[in-house]
Amino acid sequence: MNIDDYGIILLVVISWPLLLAFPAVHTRLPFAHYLVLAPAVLLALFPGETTVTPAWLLFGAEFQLDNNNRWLLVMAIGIWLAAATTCNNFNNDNKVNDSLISGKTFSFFSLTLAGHLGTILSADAVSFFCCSTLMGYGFYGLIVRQNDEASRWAGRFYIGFLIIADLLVFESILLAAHDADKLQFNSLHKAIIDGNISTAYVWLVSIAFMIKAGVWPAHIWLTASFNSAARPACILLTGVPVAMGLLGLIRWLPVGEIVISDWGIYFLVLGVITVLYALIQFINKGYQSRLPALVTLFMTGLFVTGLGAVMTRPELWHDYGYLAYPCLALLGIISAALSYIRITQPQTGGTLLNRLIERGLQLMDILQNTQLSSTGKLFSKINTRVLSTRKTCKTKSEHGFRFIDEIEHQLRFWPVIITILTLFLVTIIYLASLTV
Amino acid sequence: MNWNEWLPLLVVFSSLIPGLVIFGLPEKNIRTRTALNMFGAVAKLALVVWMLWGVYNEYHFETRLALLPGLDLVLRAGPFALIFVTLSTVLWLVTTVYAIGYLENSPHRSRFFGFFSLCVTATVGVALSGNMITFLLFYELLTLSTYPLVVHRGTEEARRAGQTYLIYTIVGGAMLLLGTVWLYNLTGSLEFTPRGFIQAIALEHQAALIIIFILLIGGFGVKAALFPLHGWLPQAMVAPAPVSALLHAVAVVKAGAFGIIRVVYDVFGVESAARLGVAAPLAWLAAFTIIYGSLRALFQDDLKRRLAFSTVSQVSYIALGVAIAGPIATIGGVVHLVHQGIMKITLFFCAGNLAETLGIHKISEMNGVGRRMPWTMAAFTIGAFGMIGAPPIAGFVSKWYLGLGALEAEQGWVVLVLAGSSLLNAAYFLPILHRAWFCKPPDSWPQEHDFGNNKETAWALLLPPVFTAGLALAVGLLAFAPFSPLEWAQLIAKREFYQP
Repeated sequence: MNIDDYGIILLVVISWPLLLAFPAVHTRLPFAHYLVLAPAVLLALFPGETTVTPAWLLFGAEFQLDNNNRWLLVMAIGIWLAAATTCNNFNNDNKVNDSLISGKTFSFFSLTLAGHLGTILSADAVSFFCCSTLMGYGFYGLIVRQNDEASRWAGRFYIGFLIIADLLVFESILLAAHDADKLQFNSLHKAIIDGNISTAYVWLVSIAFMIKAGVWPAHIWLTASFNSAARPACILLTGVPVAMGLLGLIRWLPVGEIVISDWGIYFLVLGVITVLYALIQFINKGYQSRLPALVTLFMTGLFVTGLGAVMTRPELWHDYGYLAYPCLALLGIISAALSYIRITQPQTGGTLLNRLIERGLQLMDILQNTQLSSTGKLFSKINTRVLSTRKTCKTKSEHGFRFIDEIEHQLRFWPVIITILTLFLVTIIYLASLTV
Repeated sequence: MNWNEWLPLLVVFSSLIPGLVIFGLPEKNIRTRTALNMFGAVAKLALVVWMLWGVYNEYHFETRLALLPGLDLVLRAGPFALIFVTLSTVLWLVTTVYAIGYLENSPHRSRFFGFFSLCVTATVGVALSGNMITFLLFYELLTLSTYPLVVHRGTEEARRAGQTYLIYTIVGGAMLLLGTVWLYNLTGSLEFTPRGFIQAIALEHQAALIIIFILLIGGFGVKAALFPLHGWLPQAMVAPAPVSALLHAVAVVKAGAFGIIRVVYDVFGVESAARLGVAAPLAWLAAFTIIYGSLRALFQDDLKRRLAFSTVSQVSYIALGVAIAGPIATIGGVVHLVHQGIMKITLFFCAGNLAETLGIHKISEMNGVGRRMPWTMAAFTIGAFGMIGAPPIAGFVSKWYLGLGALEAEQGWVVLVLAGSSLLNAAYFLPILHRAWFCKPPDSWPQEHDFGNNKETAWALLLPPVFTAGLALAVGLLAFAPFSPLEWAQLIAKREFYQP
């Protein structure tokens, strides 16, 4: 078998989970939730780079394994294994009459996995779009499978943002197809560099994938999902939709190849705001259940800031660009690990996390007391209310309701202040960049 | 007459003769009726496959019979005719299987299947028509053969719906007749010609041609359910599910859309239509209908009514693609003729299954139905996502080419209309899917029928939607494969725009 023959494995990696999505197939296979990953593991172990271009598929698809997306493939295998392991425990704990092995959850699990792997391996815009859409809608199934009010709310947020983002991607892909000869990412980058593609493309792609990645202010779906989604979905949240959103930014834009100064500034600003927002939220109400969400937001913000820097100074990509894919993989793995610890080891890892957070909160209390008195009072008020909410919540489901109430209540003042401040910040930085 | 001259007529007769025989069969003679139905459908399919192969290899199939002095009855199989014939034939076969299962034990089956066959005969005749007069004859036959199907249940509601249908379509037919006679008077010809046959008189009779265009589009717009001529379609939902499938996906609505394409391309020609300034208003009207239909669908609790308004919206994509008047948009419009048919028939089959098996007619009754009928709802899910335009299902390919065509024709606003429509489609289809898959099922269904052995429903009801859902997925996923609808649409656009 020569290297080109391995290309067929790329197609098997994507189609195998699709096949297993059929209940008639996966219910007859022992350890289906692990076997579904077998071709992906095989591909990750394959030493070389390989490409397959099935001309009959879609508008001429192309899938590729190179040393960059191998990082993401490994990350995917890790987090999906963790999710699969957690899934059955979760079903037993919650007495859900829908086990991973036999129920519809496995179908959503497999569909999302197929979309995820396809997104990682696709080398052209249409395949990427198709696979990420499959992944997105499959993931909705995982978010709402708990079927309580809170998870339904989270699902609504998620699907609303997903549809808007997908529409923007569709529009951008149309622009690209209109202006570029081919839709392979290399050709797309070349067309952008040559100035053949409308600037609206950059706008649409940037907004769409920032929404998908949960960058501020489109982070609402992310935090809501982390709080309300079923546990396996929490493990996958960062590695699947967020990391793929960030991957979209790298793949669809010629990052490091051209100066995109306007959008570089926007990326910088939004990245910094996301980081600040995550920090403020942690200071304000950083209890255990929110930690993975806030860590994800924080790291996403850092990543976007890095992208912004590279857009304004492309030479940075040549020095540090090789870190982008490992960083993305790390982002998914860290968040998955935090969620996994919280779910599987509440007595050990969870307690450790709790202690760390309590210490953090105490430190923040000290800081708040030394801050401007008005801000300190505001923090105290919110903290008191949040803590009282936490104390009165008895079950996860009830906590979900409280969470929604809390969001609605907070909309009245605190986010308004944050939003005004951040918008002010955006305006100042933008004006400053114009004058510079 | 050689064999190639007989073939188009044979295709028409392959459903006409079984249909006429079925009329005479006693009600209890189920086996003969089923055998005749299936024989007709399979024979037609075989003949159409033969013609497909022939047209692909540039053979000429034409039947010409003298009708009136100077007017012939012409049946001609070109790429454009064949794409519609193939759609009708394949979906007729599937619908026949479905109808056999659906109407089991119900009365007046011979009458139903007789008119059913006549209806497909008329549709194939419409598709193969080589001139306006032939088109008009089969178009009116279609009206007359579908009316008994709409009123088949015989209830007061069905009769009212049938009356509305008849009023709309007869008025539409009258407009069409008037336009055709006027056109013949001006041009002396009614023969469909690539790039139209009115160029010679376009400057001289500009005002008359604009009125003729309005009359013809108005006539076809009734069946294509263009706003404000769509009123009959939601009412006709009272008909049995196979008839709804036939109206929306195989015959009536499609015949209207097909007529609009014929008028723009083969009567007026794209260039003349643009020069007369009639293409742009048609595009605006189609765009408005797309949004209007989606908005109306959003507020329907009755599943079939929601699907009906969805058809109002979706069929206008075809008119929009034609009115944009560019090669790529043409591909989008023509391919949507096929894709919409496949996706919409899937949805109607599923709606029929829900009604027949569980007595579900309203969306609010669909909680948890995915657990009870997983295959039906899986098919429905594929159809719904296709309508939204989610990749890689068929609807995505149509929207892709429509959007690309709009950009090519520098009509960027169309892309926004497509986006808005997708958003509205998502808004009225996704809640259904959420209910079906994620909500808790009720303790009992409105009117559950037991099909034995824990079966989801009867095989004859289950296989057709599963097949068409698979087809919707396949034509999207394998869009570039040989003989795909997309390839045929490209062939048609090439003929219309690039061949001398």
